[in-house]
Amino acid sequence: MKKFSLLLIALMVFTLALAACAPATPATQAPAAVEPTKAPEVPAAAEPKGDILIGNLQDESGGMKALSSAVTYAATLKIEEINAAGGINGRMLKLITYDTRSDVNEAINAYTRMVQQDKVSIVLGPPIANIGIAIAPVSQELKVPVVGLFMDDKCTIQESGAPWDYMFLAQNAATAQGTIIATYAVKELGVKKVAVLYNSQNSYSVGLANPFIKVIEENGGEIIAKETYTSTDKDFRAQLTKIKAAQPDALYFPSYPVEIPLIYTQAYELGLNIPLLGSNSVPPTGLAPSTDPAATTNTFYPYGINPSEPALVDWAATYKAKFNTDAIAQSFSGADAFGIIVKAIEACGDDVSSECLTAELNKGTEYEGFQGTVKLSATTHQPEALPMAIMTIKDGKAEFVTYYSPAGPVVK
Amino acid sequence: MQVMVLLQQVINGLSLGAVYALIAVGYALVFNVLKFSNFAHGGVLGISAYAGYIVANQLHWPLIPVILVGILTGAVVAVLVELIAFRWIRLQKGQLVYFFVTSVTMLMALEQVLIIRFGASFESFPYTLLKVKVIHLGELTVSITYLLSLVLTIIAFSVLLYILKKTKIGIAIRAASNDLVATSLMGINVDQIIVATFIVSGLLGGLSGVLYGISASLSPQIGQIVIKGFIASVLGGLGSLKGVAIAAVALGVFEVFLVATIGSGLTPVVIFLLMVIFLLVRPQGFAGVSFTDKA
Repeated sequence: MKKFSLLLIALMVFTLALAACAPATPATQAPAAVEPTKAPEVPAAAEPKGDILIGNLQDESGGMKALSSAVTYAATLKIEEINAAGGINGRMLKLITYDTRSDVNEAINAYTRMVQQDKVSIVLGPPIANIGIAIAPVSQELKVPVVGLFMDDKCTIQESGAPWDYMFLAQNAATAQGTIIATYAVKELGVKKVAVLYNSQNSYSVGLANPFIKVIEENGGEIIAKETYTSTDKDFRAQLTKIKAAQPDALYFPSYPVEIPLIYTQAYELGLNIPLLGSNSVPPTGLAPSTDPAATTNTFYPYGINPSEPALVDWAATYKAKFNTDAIAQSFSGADAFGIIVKAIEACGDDVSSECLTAELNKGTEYEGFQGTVKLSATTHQPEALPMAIMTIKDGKAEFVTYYSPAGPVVK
Repeated sequence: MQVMVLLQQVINGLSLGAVYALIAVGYALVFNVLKFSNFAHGGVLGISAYAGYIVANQLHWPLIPVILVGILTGAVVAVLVELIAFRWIRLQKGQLVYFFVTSVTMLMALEQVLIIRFGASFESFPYTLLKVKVIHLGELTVSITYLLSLVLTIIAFSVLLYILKKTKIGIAIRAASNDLVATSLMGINVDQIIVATFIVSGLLGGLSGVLYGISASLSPQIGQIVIKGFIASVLGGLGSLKGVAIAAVALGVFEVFLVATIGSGLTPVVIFLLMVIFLLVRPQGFAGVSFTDKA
């Protein structure tokens, strides 16, 4: 009886632990129902046709809140500008936001609800690959386009090689980002022996690690250590100790914001004094005050924008004044994603249906955004060759190094 | 070179094990007296960690006061948990399984409190609280953060052992852990002893919460780390605090070596299998203390 009781408890604990190990936030840890956030103030009375509803599928309270909320903030700013100027064809824009908490099941439910119940005809998607992958097959059924920042190729391209009909990416895909930082590392930093530390449970991390490894090896480099971790890990010293022992020239860690300060700190504590190659998630948690600047020197990461460009500085100031937080890459690329949506709505005129909007998105119309000229390819539903800014960190602050593409340095 | 890597991994494991030990002993203390697995200890740990975070982040208090706030919060929350969740069941002479179910419910309830207050996102203590510094021993490095955990763990154990062995309240707690009814018949106020036990357990939970929060990061689910305390308790033998502490440190070292050899994904599977084997083969743990009934 005694053994049985303890085994029963062990079984329950094991179940709890498995639930805790799941990459997404468990549904039991927050109310299942999600409520739409308040719509922005509408400065003018709506036309008889009513507001144009745009779904917004973001993590507003989970582990990816830092990046996902940036997209909501950017869209809110854009909507206020447009509505203040009279809207589109006299109709006001209204954002219908659902909180996914980075949980794929929540995201699927939210997408279904905003399409079937709220009747949105287009959706602004999150910067979360796992959710993009989960939403893609559902969008084939519900036929409402999603323009988002989900970087993994699987979010926009099916196994057959054809694009998902209703999924569109508004920033460089993981393949392009992994390729750019790998090329920079080989050609500009001169690294040959590289270590990789990534989350084997996360599409974003795997999606960046794979092209990075491929490009390093194609350029004569060598991956001398490939270590993985899971989404609930907080201690990376076992992996970092092995990496240090392998004596690499650089370490690549395409990680999520929650993991980045821990990896920086633990790598520094172990004396891993080599260039650290990050991803576009390094800000904001990799910068001060989240991470000690002592641990982040010698970092290089690709970023969708150069934050020091004057036009971006002005917009970032407005953004900070309104939301009391610094604009990050996802703010700018989120604004671009929303801008692409707005352009499609404008082109459709009175027929703001999902059919018309999807057709417009497939036309490959160029959009002049913060990231540059974003032109969505009809064959991949991803931007065609956007150069990226290579950033470094000095005294805890991000600093622009150069623009870079897979072919090498770019002058803008 | 390989020897140095091995030594570094041992240091990594000891650092992790020190935090596990603090959690495990706070957890095992309540088990010793009331004979049930108190998973609410994880909730106490979580609330304390966030209390420390608030004073560190918003009031910019330095390290020692932050730790003290965490410790005191732990004691207060632990007592409240005893009063709200467990006392009524005890007075009704409820079965041990009711205590167990209630403790899991309290863990979830306290997590929800944190989600309501802070959201489900993660937070970090400001780096200025404890700047990253290391001590170099040749090629080996020891983090100041974890060294602090180790030192505070040793101090906390020493104080705990002194209280349990040399003070009246400690002797009463030990008596209660042997037989609660007999202790009551000897004229000792059992309610006070149990409150005292929860206070000591809460102090340890508060300390471990703040230290774990600083070395890792904060999320409302931080209290689920109490599972490591449960595993260490099963391996060490729930009746022996020293056994539990040693098992917790060993668990930290074992975990680090598993991650380094078979990877992070398979490590929890191996650890849980080991725990099940222990329960089947040696349910009293390696310290060898057994109970006739427990939940």
